[in-house]
Amino acid sequence: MKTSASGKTKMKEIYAPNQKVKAGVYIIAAFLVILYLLPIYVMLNQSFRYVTDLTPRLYLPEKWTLENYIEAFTSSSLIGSFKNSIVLVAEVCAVEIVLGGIAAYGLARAGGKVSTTLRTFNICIMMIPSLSLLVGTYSLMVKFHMVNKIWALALQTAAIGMSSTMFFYTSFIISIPKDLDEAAAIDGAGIFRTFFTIILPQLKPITVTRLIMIAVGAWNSYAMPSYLLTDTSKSTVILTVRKAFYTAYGAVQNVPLACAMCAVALLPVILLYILLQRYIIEGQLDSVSK
Amino acid sequence: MKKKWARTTAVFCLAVSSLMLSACGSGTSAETTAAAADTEASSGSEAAEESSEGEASGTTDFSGREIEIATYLTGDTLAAYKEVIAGFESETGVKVTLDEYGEDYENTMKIRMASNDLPDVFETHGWSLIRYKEYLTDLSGEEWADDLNDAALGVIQDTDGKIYTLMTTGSCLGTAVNMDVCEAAGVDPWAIETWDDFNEACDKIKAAGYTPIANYFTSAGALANADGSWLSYEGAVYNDNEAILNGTWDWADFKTILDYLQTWFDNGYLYEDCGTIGQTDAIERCARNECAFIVGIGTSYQTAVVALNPDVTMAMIPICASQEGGARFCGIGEGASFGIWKDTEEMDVCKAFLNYVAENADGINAAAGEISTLPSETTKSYGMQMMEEMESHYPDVFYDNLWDRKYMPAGMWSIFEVAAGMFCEDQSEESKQEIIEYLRENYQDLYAAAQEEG
Amino acid sequence: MDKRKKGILLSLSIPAFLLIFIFMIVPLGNALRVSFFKWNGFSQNMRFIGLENYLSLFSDKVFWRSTANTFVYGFGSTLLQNIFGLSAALFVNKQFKGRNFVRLILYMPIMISGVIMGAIQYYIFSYDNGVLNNFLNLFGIEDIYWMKSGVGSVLIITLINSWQAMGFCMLIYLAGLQNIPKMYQEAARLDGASKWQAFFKVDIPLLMPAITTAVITNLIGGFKLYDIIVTLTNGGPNRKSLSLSYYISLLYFNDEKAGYSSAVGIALFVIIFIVAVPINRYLRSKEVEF
Repeated sequence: MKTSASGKTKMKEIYAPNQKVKAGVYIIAAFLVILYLLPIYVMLNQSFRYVTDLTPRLYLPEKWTLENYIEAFTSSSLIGSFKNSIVLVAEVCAVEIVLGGIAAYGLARAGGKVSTTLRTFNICIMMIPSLSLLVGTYSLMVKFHMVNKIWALALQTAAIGMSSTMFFYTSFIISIPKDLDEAAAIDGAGIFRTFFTIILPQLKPITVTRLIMIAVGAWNSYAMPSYLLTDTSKSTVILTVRKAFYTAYGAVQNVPLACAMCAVALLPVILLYILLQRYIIEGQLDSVSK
Repeated sequence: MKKKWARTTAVFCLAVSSLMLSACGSGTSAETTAAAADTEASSGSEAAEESSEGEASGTTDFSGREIEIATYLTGDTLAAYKEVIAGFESETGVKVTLDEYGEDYENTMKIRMASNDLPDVFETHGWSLIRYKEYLTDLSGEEWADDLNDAALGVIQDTDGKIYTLMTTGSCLGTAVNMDVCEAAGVDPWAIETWDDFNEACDKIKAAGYTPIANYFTSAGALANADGSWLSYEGAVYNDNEAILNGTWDWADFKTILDYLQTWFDNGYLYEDCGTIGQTDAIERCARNECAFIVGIGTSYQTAVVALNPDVTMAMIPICASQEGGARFCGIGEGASFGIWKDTEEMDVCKAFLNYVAENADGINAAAGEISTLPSETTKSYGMQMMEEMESHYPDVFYDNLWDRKYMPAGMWSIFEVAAGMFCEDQSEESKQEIIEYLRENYQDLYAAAQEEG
Repeated sequence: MDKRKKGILLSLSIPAFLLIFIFMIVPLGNALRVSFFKWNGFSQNMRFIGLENYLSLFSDKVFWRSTANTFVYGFGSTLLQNIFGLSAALFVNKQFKGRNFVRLILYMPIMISGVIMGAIQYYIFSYDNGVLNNFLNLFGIEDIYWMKSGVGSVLIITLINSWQAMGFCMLIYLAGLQNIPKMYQEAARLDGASKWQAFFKVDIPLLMPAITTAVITNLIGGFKLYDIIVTLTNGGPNRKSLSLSYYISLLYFNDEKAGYSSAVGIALFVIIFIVAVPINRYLRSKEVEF
């Protein structure tokens, strides 16, 4: 996490702050932290209320309660939906990384007109919002009984994200000198051995970054899952939480319970984020500076 | 709080026989006594025995069989429904898969209709005749069908006498009133008869510093639910029913409604953010005693308000008449209603399930706060109490199916919703013309589509 | 490279493209077909109406409004995210205690799903009893109706989206800033350039590759915006804050106009293509540089 000592002194020379500036820096830092933690505060603040507590949302609850958390854990389908989300994320990551990585290797190394055309095509695909094809995708998936099947949603999600993954991998592999491949080829390595011995080890940083992006995207995806996973027992965490915020006609909306479910749903994500920050933030930094 | 209800209702439930319940036949006396003894469970099993009399004794044991049920219910009502399902499971050994679709219910059902793959039992939420009929089993031969009261039959019975859904509760739609606010402003809501009276009351409430009307324009309710009072009912300004139903209506008369609703905006009766809030916000504000009325809403609204703040006194008045002497209207709609898919492979299990629900619907009704339709429902729900209170003040209330369900082709509700948004933003003459044009176009399209579907 | 090897390399991309074909190209064809029909999305009746759906696009105000919004969400978010991201990067690049913590917090919202974020932000921006208005009340300021107009809602959605996703830009700029050899900066400063001049003349050009990646990612994200709108404004007031993606799903599932929804989808597809072409060209030129 820490920049090297020499880097620090170098930076200090340029951005050497005096005391007054330093106080200003901390004020800004505090402001930013508050600004970015505000939604979390609003969520937690409401999650500890009774549903009858109508005090303004800025202020702390009149009376604190853990009732909502107990309910979120026991009576809601939230816990079960964690399993579905994990399965979905794992499947999407596996399909996208494996197929995307291999395809990118082929495209990057093949060269020539076909490869260029395919890559151009791929970049065009990358820009398409998946919902523009909603009617087409949805009615087809209904026709072929791919509704309420997590694997089908995983394939669909992976297909939508495939072009980005291929794009990033292709750019990355192109930046790996071809000499290495050629040296391996001279040693008698085939295409696959070259891939596994030369290319794959180098792909680690981009793979970590892509994995994180794909996983976060799949975990948080909402639109397609909401149409394709209508069976409650198949619902993902996001769908379950979204449902908690919605009430059927005439029902009392239990905002505190919904917020408690939000908190429970976010907890693992935020914990993982803090635990893996080295990979997420530093990995991101590394992959960009390549 | 629910307990308190239960206690009060336990005392009153037998003493007061409501107008709606009077349709019950004679065969229900056994059940009524059972319920009076506060033994819901035993009444259920007793009734189950009764129902099995006619069939082979083995029918109650469906061990190993599975059915799929879809629901849009959420919250307390869903919890009550789940209890009923659990009871059925333990009694019969059936394994029930419950799909809680919530908000996505309608969309999901549309899709499942398209692929002709429906759950064995599903809720018809007001559309058993118009939308779902061709996918449903005729249930008019079931035992409970005779027990349904007129309020229910009026809504779910087809012209040929067939019934496609078990309607356990009915939503009763009128104008919700916060009595505390009215009292503080010196308004007697029971004296309101016409829209003119209503506006007068609103002026007083506004002067007292409250918001008179909590209607919101993110829903079609504000624009669609009260329309019958101008267009359809006895003594209304227009009587366009025939034209509306045969597809020739030209919507010019609809302008009267927009003109009236404009007074709400012009006189500042509404919340400033009525274009972006939803039902939840209205419930919350009413629970804080900030607003007096909401026009065209089911009794579940009052139930929800009281759940948030038990100290508020709520009431219901009918939807006003458009002129002196006109009918004052309350809509009755399908509440929690359950139908069986016609192609189900588990027809006997499904029918047994509906029987079970019919005998144990009390909890669902109590949670929904709607009006009861079956003799097994002895808990007098909050909605039922309000309806009786209303009838004591307005003995001549006119009941009918919900206006859009009776007179509009299927699909108009979401069109009204869009129109409500348009109207909330701009109440100018051009905008009104545009809205009417929009409604007319879609009405004609949907009408034609409904004719095609047969 | 011999032909056989090239063939093998190219064939590596077959599984990936097959997936794209099944879940994007086939649906596109299907959507195109449906767009010539009048269909409510579930009935067995489909009526061929030729180009009528496309012609109605021209007179559909909501369509044009949503198109404009989509551009605001796309370009507006991109602009704001880069401004916010750059400012945050410059700030976090300063030496002060807790800068890693600030960086951690600023990046965190990216991990949180748009659906949840929108739902919570609703309680911050709502007119009655919103946290922001609660706060302003403390200073005697009357409640402000933030989402009164379509424009207000669109701006708030853009703002929240940029606020949430800004961390990505921040990291990219941060990576750039930390990788730029300090000697360039120092040299410029020695030549008499001010700190800002040095920044714009030296740092920015060197950051260009990173900026490109950020712009592309932001644009794609912005054009696809959907989740946050669902829970924050639900498209309101009066359908004025819809993105095209959301309009498509509303038309399909809410208004029961699957044919027309399909036509809007195709229109979105075409719009994105028009936007994608110049970007595509740029990306290709960038790839050559590698």
